[in-house]
Amino acid sequence: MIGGSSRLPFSILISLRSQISDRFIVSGLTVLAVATSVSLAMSVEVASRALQEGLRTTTQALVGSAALTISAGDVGVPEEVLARVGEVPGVLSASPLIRRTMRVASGEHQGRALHVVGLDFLSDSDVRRYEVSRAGTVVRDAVRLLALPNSVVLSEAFATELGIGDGDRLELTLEGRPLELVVRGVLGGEMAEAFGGQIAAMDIFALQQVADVLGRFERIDVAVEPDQSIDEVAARIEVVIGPALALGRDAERETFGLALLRTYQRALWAFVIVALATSTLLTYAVSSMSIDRRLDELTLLRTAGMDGAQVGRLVLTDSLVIAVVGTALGAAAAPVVLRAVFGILSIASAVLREIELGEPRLALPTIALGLFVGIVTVVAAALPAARRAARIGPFELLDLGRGTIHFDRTRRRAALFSLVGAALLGLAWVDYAAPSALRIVAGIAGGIALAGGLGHQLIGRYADPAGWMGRWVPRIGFLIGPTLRARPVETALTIAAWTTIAAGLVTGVTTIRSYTGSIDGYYYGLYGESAVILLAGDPFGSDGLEAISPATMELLRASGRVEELAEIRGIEVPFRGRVIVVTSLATNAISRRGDLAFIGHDPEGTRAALKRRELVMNESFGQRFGIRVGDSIVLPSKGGPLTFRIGASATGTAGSSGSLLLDESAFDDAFASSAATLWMAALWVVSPENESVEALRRMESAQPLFLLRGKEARRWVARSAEKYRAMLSVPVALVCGLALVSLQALLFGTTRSRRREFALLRAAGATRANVVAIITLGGSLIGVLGSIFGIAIGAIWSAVTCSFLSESIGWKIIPIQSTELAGWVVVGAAVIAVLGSLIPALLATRVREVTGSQTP
Amino acid sequence: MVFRRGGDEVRAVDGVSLSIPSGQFVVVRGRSGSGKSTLMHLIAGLRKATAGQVFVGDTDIQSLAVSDADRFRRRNVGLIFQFFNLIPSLSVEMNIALPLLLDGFRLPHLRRQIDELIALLGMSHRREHAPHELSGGEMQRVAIARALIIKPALILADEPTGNLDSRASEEIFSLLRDLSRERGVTAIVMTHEVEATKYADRVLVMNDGCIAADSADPVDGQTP
Repeated sequence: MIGGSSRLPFSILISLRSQISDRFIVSGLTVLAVATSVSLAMSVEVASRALQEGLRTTTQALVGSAALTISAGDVGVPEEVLARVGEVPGVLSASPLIRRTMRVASGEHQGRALHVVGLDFLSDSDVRRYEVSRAGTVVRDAVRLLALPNSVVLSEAFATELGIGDGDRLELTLEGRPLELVVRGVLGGEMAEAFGGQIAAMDIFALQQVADVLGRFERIDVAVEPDQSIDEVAARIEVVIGPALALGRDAERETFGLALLRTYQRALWAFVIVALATSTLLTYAVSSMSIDRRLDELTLLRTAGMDGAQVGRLVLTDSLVIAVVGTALGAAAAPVVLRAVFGILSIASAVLREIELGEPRLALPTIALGLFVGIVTVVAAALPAARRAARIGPFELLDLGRGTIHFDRTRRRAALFSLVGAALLGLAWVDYAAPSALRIVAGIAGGIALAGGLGHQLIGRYADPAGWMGRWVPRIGFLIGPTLRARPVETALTIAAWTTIAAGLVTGVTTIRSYTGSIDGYYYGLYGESAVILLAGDPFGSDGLEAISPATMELLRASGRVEELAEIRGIEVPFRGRVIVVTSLATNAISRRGDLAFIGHDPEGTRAALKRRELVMNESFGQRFGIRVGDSIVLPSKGGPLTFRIGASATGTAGSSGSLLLDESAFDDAFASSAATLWMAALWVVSPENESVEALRRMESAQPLFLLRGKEARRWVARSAEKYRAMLSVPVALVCGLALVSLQALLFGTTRSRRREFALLRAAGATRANVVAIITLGGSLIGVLGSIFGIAIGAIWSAVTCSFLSESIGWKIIPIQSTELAGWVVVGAAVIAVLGSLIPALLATRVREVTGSQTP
Repeated sequence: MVFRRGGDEVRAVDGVSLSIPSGQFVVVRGRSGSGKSTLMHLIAGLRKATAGQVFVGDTDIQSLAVSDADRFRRRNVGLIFQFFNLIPSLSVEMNIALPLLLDGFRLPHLRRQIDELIALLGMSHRREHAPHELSGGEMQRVAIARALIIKPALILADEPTGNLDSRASEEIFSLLRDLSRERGVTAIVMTHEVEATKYADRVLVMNDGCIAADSADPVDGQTP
C-alpha cells in the first residue's frame, strides 16, 4: 500500500502505485530500455570526448601558439626556407619540426610506438610549451643537454612505463633500422601530453641525421606577432616560399587514419541513435498501452472530478518516473559500458593515429546528454499518450468500439508515414542527391517512418482473422491476427524498432565487409591471385605498420625464393593547401600477372597513361580539386616542381583529398631522392609457392614481416576484421537487448490488456499450449517482419554509409550485400522473438479461466 | 472448495452433493458471494476442487489433467458469462465457431452449422458484424450459439442476463429453456434474478457455499 501519511504529491503517489503494483514488468522493461540508451549515449560521449581530447592535446602540443604551418608532405621543407620566413615582417617566430615514429626494439614493451619529435630548442620557446628537466631540476639550456646526436628527453609517463631514467640507453628501431639513444632528461609541460604521453624530443639536427633527412624539415610552424593580421602575414609568407610549399592553418593534416577514426566514432554514434530511436518508440508504445489498461482508473478519476489536464499530467508523471529511474540506472551502468566503447576507440586510435587515449572522465556535456536521452526524449515520447489521456471522458468505458475507431483513425496517418518515409529513404539512396550527413539523417528517419507505416498497413490489411494466417496455421492461426491488430500502433512501432535494429546490424556488417572486401579486391584483383602481399607489421594489430626497410627488401631478393617483386611506394606531397598521396604502380608486373581493371573502368586507358608517365587520379581527387583527365598539375619534389598530365581516372585510397598513381619508373625518377615510403610490396614466389612463402616467413628479419597470400590472406584479413566486429559486440548486444525489451513490453502490454480474451479462450477450451503458440507466433511474426524490413532498409543504409565512407577516406567502396547475412538476421530475429515472447506467453497462460466471467 | 483470501480461509463451496439428470434446465439462485460462480467453475473444470468429484456423464472432470479438462470442455461444455463473452476482434460467425476452430476445424467446413444456429437465434443479418456493433442481448445470443455449436452435453451460464434489460433477459431465459427441451441439453444457469425461476425445471438456492434449498428435494417441495 502506497499513500497513508506520505507527503508526496497525489499524482506521483498514484503513478508509483500504478507502476509498482499494476504494471511492474512493463515499467521495468521500459526502465531497462531507457537505462540502456542512457548508458550507451553517455559512454559514447565520454569515449568520443577522450578521443577528441587526445587528438586536440597532441595537435596543441605540437603546434603550440603557431598560427601558420609551412609543409611539403614527405618531400620536406628545405632548411633555407626557415631563415627567409623568419625575416618576414609580422613573424614572431618560425620553428621547424620533424616527427618520426620509432619502436621499442626489445623487452616487454617491444614494438611499442614512441613518437620522437625533433625541435630547434633555440627558436622553439615562442611556439611550443615544454620544459626539460634532469634529476628533478628544470634545465633552461636544453641545447647543451641534447648536444650529443643520440640524446633524447622522454616524457615522464613513457620513462616510468619503461622503467628507465637519466643516462639509460634506449634501444629502438626506425623503419627496421636499429638505433640506440641515451636518455638525458625528462620532457615536461604541454608537449609531454601529446600522443597520450608516448613522446620524446631530441635536437632537430640530430633527428635529421638519424632519420636521414638532412637539409629538410617536416614542417615549419609560424607564430605571428600579436598585433599582426594572420592573413596579411600569410600572404607575405606565400610570396617568400613560392608555390612548391603549402601554407596552411590546418596544423594537423587530414589523414587516412584520422578519417577512418572519425568514421568509427560516427559508427558508435549511429548505435546511440538506433538505441535512442528504439527506446523512444518503446516509451511511446508503453505509454499508449498504459492508457488503455488504466482506462477504468482514469475514467474513475475523471468521474471523481479530475480534469483532462490533470489526467494528462498524471500520464506524464508516469513517464517522468520511468525516465528518472531509467536515467539513474543508465548513469550507474555507464562506466561498465564505457569500458567496451572506450576500448573500441582506444584501439582504433592506437592503430590509426598511434595515440593512446587518456582516462575517460565524466563531464557536464555527459550529464547533459544523459538527461536529454533519459528524460527529455522519454517525456516527449509520452506526450501524445498524455494528450490522448487528457481527452478521456467520464463515460469512456461505455465506448466499447474504441479499439476499432483507434485503428481507423491511425490508418491514414500510417499511410502518410509510409509515403514520407519512402521519400526520405529515396533521397538518401540517390547518390550525390544531398550532402552525406543529410543523406544519413534522411535515411535513418525515412527507414523508421517507412517501417512503422508499412507495418501498420500490413497488419491492417493482412492480419485478418479470416485471412491467410487462419488458413495456414491450424487451430490458432485465426487468433494471431488479433494479437497484432489489438494494438496496431504499438505493433507497428515495435516492427519499426526491430527494423531499425536489423537495419543497423546489416549496415554495420555490410560496411565493414565492403571496406575489407574493397581492400582485398583492390590488391588481389590488381596484382593477381598469385601475388603475396608483404607488410611490415600486423595490418590489423594494435602496433600499426612500419615502412619496409631497404635491408628487408635486400634480404627478400637474396632469399632465392622471390621470382618477381613490385614495390608499392607512397609519398605525401602538398597540393593546393592539402596533402595528397602519390603511389607507385608496377605497371609491367600488373600487366603480366594482375588486372588494371580493378582500379578503373578503362584499363587500357589507364595502362596507356601510366606508360606515358602520366598521373592517374582517383575519383576523390577529381572531385576535391575539380580536375579532369587531360589537365596538368604541378607537384613538388626535392629536385624542384614537376609538371604532370592527368592521363586517366581510377579508384584508390589514401586520404579524403584523394590520391594519385604513377608508374614505378616515373615515380622513382620524380621522387627517388625524396622521402618516399615503401609501405607494401607484392611478391611472386618460386614454385612450390607454399614452401617458398613459409621459408620467407621463417626468414630472420629486423622487421616483423607479414606475408599474405591468396585465399589464405583473405581468410586472415577476414579474421582480423572480426576483431573490429568483436569490439562492436557490446553496443550491438545492448541494441539487440533493446529489441528484446521492446517486443516483450509490447507482448506484456497486449497480453495484459487481453487478459479477459485469453480467459475466455481458456474457458472455451483453448489449452495453455494454444495460448503460448498464439503469443509466440505473433511475436515471431513481428520479429521476422521487422528483420525483413530491416534487411531491405539496411541495404539502402549500407549504400549511404559506404558512399559516406568513400567520401571520408577517398576510396570508392561498393557495398557487398550478402544473402547469407540476410538469412542470419532473419533467423536471429525469429529466435530472439520466440525467446522474447515466451515469458509473456507463459504469464498469459497463468490467466485464470474464470477472469472472463468477472465484471470488467 | 477452499480459497485463501487475505490470509483467511474461505469455504466457497462446501458439502454440495447433487445429481442433475440429462436435459434438465436448472436455475441456481443465491446472493452475491453465495458460491454460485464457484460451483459453476467446479462443474466446468475451470477450478480444481479441494476435495470431491464432479461427473459430467461418465467423466470425472475434476480428475482430468489441465489439458484434458480443456479438451473435454471444448467438446462437451458450453459456457456463457455475464460480461466479455465475445472476442472483440473476431466477427460474429468466428465467435460462434470458436471452440470448433480451436479443435482444428476450418471455417468453410462449419458454414452449415453456423447458418443453422444464426437462423435459430435470429442473427442472420449480423453474421459478419463485430461484437461492438451488437446490442447486449445480441451478444448473449452469440454466446449461446457458441455454446451450442459443439452440441454440448451441458451448458453452464453465469449471470447471463446480468447486463440486460428485463425484456432481453426474458428472451434469453426463454431461449435457454427451449433449447434445453428441444435438444436435450442439460442447462445450469447461475443467477440472482427471481424471474428466471419460472422457466426452470429445477431451482437450487445457495447460501454460504451450501445448497440451502432444492426444488427437487421432497423435503423442500416448493419452488424456492
